[in-house]
Amino acid sequence: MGMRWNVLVLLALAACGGGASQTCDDLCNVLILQCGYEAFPDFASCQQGCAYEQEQGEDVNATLACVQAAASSGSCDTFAILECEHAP
Amino acid sequence: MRRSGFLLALVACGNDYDLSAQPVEVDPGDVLACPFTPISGTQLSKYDCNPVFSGTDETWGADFVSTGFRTQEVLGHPFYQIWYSAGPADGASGSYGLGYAVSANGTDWEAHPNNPLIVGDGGWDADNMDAVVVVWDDQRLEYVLAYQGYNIANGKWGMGIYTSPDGAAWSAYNDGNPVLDFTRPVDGITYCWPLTFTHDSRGYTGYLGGQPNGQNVCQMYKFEADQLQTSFTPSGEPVLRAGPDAYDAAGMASAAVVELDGTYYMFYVGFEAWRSYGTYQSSVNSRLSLAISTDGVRWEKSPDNPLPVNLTSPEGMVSNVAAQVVGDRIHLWVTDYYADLGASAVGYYLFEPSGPVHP
Repeated sequence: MGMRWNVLVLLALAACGGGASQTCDDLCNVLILQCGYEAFPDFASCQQGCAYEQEQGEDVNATLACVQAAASSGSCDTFAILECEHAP
Repeated sequence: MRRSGFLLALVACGNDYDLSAQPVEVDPGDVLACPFTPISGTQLSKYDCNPVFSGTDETWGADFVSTGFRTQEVLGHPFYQIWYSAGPADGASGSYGLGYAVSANGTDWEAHPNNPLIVGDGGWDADNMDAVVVVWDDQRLEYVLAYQGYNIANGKWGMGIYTSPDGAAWSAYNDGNPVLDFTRPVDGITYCWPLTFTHDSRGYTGYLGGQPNGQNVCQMYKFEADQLQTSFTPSGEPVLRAGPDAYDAAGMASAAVVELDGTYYMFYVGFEAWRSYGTYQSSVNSRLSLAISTDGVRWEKSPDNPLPVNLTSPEGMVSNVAAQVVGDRIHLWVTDYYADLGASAVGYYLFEPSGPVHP
């Protein structure tokens, strides 16, 4: 019984870690730390905007994949990153 | 016990969401190098380090003809896009191109490596691409660019359209033919140029300058269309008439319409007179003005017009205005003549309708 309880809690925490906050952290890491975009006053503001978009139904995981691809060469392709917001 | 433990885990997870599930309100002063200074007697503020866009040191186009501005939010934070038509430094017609640049703070710009993205190739729009307007069509999933094209030698004037999935690779719409002929009257009105477009869930709303028969003015008309089409038929009733005051006695040369908290704001470039070049004429003494509407249909000009932002006086040389709502502010980009540069460039302003009139 104790084993099953632990697995359940771990599963819940894993789902939490892979949800909006981790995705948003990854997105903000690319946009702020890697690309250095001045549009974001600070990390918390980026996280807040990301969480809000997620709550509005945006697929932030798809946005993350798109942004990571646009920044994968080491230099950030701002033109491509802007188009991530237009991805269907 | 098992259920309550699971709930605890979810509550811990939920805290991450609760922290930040609110729209972002960015103070431009927090992300820009310079502050904004209030303009006395208005709800406007002027960025202290204007101009914010005066070119990108590209070799192909030294002289701006027109600029189309757009804001693209990334996670609720504004990034800026500008498309600009430019020609040779001597100001001669022809040999124009369209450039594209982006900025993460509205002041530092990165030009697209493939500029110029469109170049004049003769035909009905051989001489220029003027009055550039760009919107994102979320039904077609592409940008739509409208412009005034002309070929002075052949007497061709019209509104052309390009479309692009990414803002960089453009395709001529309607097989490159104009969607509106500016040389032939439609129901007694000869249209002059596009002023601004918007696109939302209802489709397109476009504002055009139009000249009613027998009047040498280019006042504002509107068309509505649920989708992009190969011809447009504006309503014959003017949205905004030229005059009676001097500041827009000859009409409107550019406009931008935004909605904020149920009120519509139309910033427009009104002009006082025409300068004749024989077979055509251009606007003279152009300054920024404002009209307000509660329904987007009936507009009332501000008694404070023209707004005191023009850099040259007494004759204004404002040529373009773009506007975007970010949070509870309206961001304005005003193209004007900067004497120290000897050229037109784009200045950045804020309009805060819910704020006090600055002393």
